[in-house]
Order: sequence, then C-alpha cells, then structure tokens
Amino acid sequence: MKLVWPKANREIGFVDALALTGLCGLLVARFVPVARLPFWGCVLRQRTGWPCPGCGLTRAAEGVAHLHFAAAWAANPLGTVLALAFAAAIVVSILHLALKMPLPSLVPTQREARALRLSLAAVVLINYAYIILKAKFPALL
Amino acid sequence: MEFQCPHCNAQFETQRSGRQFCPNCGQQIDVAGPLAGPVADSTSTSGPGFPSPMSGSAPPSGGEIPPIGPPPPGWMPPGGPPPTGGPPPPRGPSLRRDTPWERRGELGFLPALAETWKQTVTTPEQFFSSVKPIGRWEDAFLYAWLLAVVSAVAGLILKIPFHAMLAEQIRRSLDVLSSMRQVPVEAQRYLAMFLGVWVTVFQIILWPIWMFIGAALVHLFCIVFGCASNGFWATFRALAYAQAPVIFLAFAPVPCIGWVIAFAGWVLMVVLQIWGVMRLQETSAGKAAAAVLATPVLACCCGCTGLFLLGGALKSILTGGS
Repeated sequence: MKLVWPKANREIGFVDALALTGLCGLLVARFVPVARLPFWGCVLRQRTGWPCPGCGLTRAAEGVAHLHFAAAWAANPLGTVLALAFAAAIVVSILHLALKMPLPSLVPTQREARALRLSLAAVVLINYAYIILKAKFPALL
Repeated sequence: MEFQCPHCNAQFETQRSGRQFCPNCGQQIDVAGPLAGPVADSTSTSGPGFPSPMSGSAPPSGGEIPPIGPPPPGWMPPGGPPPTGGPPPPRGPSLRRDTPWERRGELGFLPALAETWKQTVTTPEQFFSSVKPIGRWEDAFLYAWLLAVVSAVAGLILKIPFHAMLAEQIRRSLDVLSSMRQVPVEAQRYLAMFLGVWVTVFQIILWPIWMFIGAALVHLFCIVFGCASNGFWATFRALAYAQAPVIFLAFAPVPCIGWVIAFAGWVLMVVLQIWGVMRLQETSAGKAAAAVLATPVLACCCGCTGLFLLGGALKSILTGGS
C-alpha cells in the first residue's frame, strides 16, 4: 500500500464530489419526508415480505441526518457507516477547500485491492444477512 | 510498472519496457526497464505523486502539452512502428487529442459544439478512443451543461402547444399518487412544483450538481470494480461527453412518440456512458457497465416502484381515471 501526500492545494477532486453527494443526500434526508412519498418503498419487500440488500438505506440516512444513530444502525448498519463516511467526506472537503489541507492518495497493490474487494463483498453479504434476520427472523437477534 | 510520459507528464501503467506510445498524447516514448527506473528527466519533477483513484487531481497546466492534431493519412512515428514482441498495449488508442469542443477557439463555438455532438452520437468508438482521460474537466462540464440547457429550453418550448394536456396529466398523476398513499400536503406541493414548469428551472440550475453526484457515484463503483486507473476526472469527462443524447429528452412532452424518443435517448446516453468509461478508464466493457449501472441497480427498489407507479398512472390515464 502506497500513501502519497501531495502539497497543500485546493484542487477539486473525487473526495469533494463525494462530499457534495453526501451533503445533498443528508440535506434531503434531513428536510424532505422521503419515506412518506407514495412511490418510495421496496416492492420486493411489499410483495414477498423479503427485504432487498438496500432496504433500510433511507431510514439509515434519515437517522444519521437527525443524529439518531441507534435507529439508523437498526435500519441498515452498512448504510449507517456509508452515511457517516459521506458526512466525514463533507468535513474533509471543507478542510481541503478552505484550509488547503492535502488529501492523501492511497494506492494499494493488486493483491491488496483484491483483498479489499473481497472484504467489501463479505461486508455487504453480512449486512444483507442481518437485514433478512431482522425482517424475517427477529427472534434470532 | 508506472511510467510518466516526458512529453505530457501523464502517468500510466505499462506491462513492458522499450519503445512504445503514450496512451495520452500519442508521442513515442522509451520506457526504461524496471531496474533502470523511469526516465530521469520526467520523474525527477513528478510533483505530488501518482494520481490515484482517490486523488482525482487535475493534470498540470503548465503549457507542457504540445499541440497535437490527428495524424495525416499514412503517418508513421519517427522511429517506425513500435517493436513487436511483448504484450500489446492495453485497450485504448495510441493517439489521444483534444476534442473538437476543446478546440473551440480554433474551430468556432457552434461548429465545435455541433462537431463534438455529432462525433459522440455517430462515431462513439472513435470519439471516446481519442478523448484524453486527464484533460480539462471544465471543458467537458461546460459542454454537458450547455446541452442540458438547450434540451431544457427546447423541452419547455415544445411543452407550450401541449400545455393544457400536460397540466391535466400532471393533475391525474397527482390524484393517482394521493390515492395510493396518504400524501402529506408538503409532499404534494413539492411534486406539483417539480412536475410543472419549474422543473425546467431546476433542471438547468441543478444539472451541475447532478453531474458531480453522478460522476462521484460512478467513480466510486469504478474503484470497487477496479477500473479507476485514470482517476476521477476521466470518469467525469466520460460521463460529461456522454450527455450528448440529452437533446432527445426535449421531445418528451410530444404526445405519442415523444416518450419513445426520450426513452431511446436515455438508453443511448447510458450506452455512451458505458462506452466512455470503458475507453477513458481503459477497462473492459463488463467492468464499465457494472460501474455505470451499479447505482441504478442499487436503487432497484425505487426503480421498480417507479415503474409500478408509472404503470398504474398510465393505466389510470388510459382508462379515464377509473
């Protein structure tokens, strides 16, 4: 894993775009009653009773936006982590654009990148298993 | 191994040493072996380090990039063709150059815009193979925004003859929505506002934000799927130049055939996005498709519900609201 620290700069980049994404998403989650919109909801869950991997993402984002972290975690743990990561990106981007804080470049080797992808896939599966257990077999939790 | 082109300072990865072409500027370069290290005069001033998927920093703009145009017919590099032996260069072209839009100072504003649009839609393979992955993002951004504005204004003009009919459709759709679930008053107000004329204003103002959000999400999945070697701005430029079919979305208000044209334009736009990511990130079609389509697939619930809602609304309109 190679970590490169550039010089102090204000160049717009990927982290800033992620921060903009997170800012818009969290603002919508905070001020717009998205979950109450008529076209919002999981058709798979409504029709079959089984949740999809993305079930609870809206509630997780709303929970983080309203600082109700326990409710967010209960809705979708991975979604909560993602929402918090977006919030962190907002802070980092502000520091980068306002104070020229350099953003490090992280370059993993091919082997490390493969390991990271496998870990991510495993985390997504574990998260989905938790959502299924919570929706269908809550007594097991 | 990583190598930096001494002509354009672009970083790229190569599997072999020896004489070859820079995938960014097309100039012939001599890659030293791994023990000898990269070319001294280029790497000694390499600056902050390799651009990685996480850095996304723009290329240096120190005027070091020589003006390069398309080669004349029969053109051969000065030293002859690159040596055979060793694996072929990764996917992508041997020559990249500024797009017609990026040469608008030379070609003229409208001809450059039209030529870029034409190349994007009619010859996407040649076009995206020639776009520089680390060129100026501002040019691509301005191009996409201009097309979005043209599309939005044209759509607004096309709405005028069908205003009464569209207003009735919006009213019926809102009725259908309200009957499906208890819709809060503020939500009804938001929906009415978005479905009305204001959608054009929002489209124009929010388009830049949407461009960045879309590029960020696609690039996030590019990193996940391992196809982000040329950095964030390559993804951004691919998506921005792939916005050309947005013009077709202006026909959406036209009754009967409008939605067909708009849908075809949207499909073409997605295809061009995949094409663009494939060529600018120099990856496979499968990885590019996965990166571009991951966001809509992740949002499948919303998509399925939207289709369900659309079907219900359509049925309601066709059956006279029964």
